[in-house]
Amino acid sequence: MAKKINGGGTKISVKMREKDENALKKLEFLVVIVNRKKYDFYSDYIQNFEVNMQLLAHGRGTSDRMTASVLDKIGTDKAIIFAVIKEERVKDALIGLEEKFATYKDSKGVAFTIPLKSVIGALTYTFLSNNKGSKEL
Amino acid sequence: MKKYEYELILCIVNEGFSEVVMDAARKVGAKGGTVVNARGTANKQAENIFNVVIQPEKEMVMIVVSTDIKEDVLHAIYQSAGLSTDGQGIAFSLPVDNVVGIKGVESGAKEELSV
Repeated sequence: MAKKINGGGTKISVKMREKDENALKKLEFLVVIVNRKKYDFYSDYIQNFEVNMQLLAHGRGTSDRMTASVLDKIGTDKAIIFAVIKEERVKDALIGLEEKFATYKDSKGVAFTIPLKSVIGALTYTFLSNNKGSKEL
Repeated sequence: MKKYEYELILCIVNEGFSEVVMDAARKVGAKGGTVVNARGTANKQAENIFNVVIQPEKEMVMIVVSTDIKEDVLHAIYQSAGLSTDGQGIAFSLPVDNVVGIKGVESGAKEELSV
């Protein structure tokens, strides 16, 4: 946000704009659970939202015995993607993911975010928040 | 304090007890979960003090539930697979800001994204 103050000219407004751009952005912990075969697709997709770090874990879905007999053919193997994302990109990412879950075959999944409270290390923060323009924190 | 509509329940139990956890959670309204295999690290001193043996092979069960039933689910898991049972489980919850892909949330997801 740029504010012009009488007598201050554009110097103050530029400084305030730079301050806003370099302000610390909140981060969230993104968890995406999808079928294991679709891991590559979703891992590539979430990188569009400035996600620089992902962690993959293998898991399996839970189902009662009746459903399991039906799922035997489809399989319940899951890929769990853990990632860190800026709060301001969460909305776009989740709307996009929900669209993909509904659009592509065998692509149903779940995605959610957990608020991330603290990070240690300026470089770690810069990396996780994809803050390319920051000169100092 | 912000109120969260959904929470993530994490339950870490001995290998082979994930079904016990899920059965208990389903009885009180949970829909489904995801199981991840993991390896626990135990404090040898704590094992001696509390006179227990910690089995290293673990299963971590992740269940997203509505906040309304969170307490019931945690209680059910504690009763069936808690520390004093063969499952030697511990369970806790984390707040979830936004969620998509869960039945019943799909149509309202866009309004619920309150970032």
